Amino acid sequence: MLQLRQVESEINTLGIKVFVVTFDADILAVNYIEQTKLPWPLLLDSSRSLYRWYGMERGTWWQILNPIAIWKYMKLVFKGRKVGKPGDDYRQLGGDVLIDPDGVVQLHHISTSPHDRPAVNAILKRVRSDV
Amino acid sequence: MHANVQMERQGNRLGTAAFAFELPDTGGVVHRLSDNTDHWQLLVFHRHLG
Repeated sequence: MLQLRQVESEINTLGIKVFVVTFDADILAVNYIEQTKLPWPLLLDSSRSLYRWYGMERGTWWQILNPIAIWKYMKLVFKGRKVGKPGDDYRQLGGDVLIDPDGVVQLHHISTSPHDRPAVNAILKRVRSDV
Repeated sequence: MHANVQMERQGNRLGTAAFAFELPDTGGVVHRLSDNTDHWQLLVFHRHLG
């Protein structure tokens, strides 16, 4: 999310509408927005129907708590990132979906670990090639 | 093996019509895929909000 926010101005310039999706409870989502000043709408998918449609399932414990994932968490903490109490499901994995103006999926990334995200530059490059 | 992993990582919805979602935000405003068909849209699926 941090990487995405660092290119917020270019996202706006390219006219990309960003929606962050969560399965967590409404109250957690409201707190998250207050704490992070999230600039984009936070959509509530409590049934996880959209997660499931895009194949974003719950990971195994090994995917969530493997040594690499723990090391990346520790690096964030050492950098001063506050790690709050998580929602009610540690194992749900995320991902990213880029949809073109015709409603066609142009990028579909299913995370295989907590820190597995597509490069932001790859997302911007895909949109730039069409603008 | 590598091809299977790559397929899994990219997912199987590439090049297909996006799901016509209709979801509320934290303020109660309902957002639909069809609201922004003249724009690129990026859906960022969060893990948990911790």
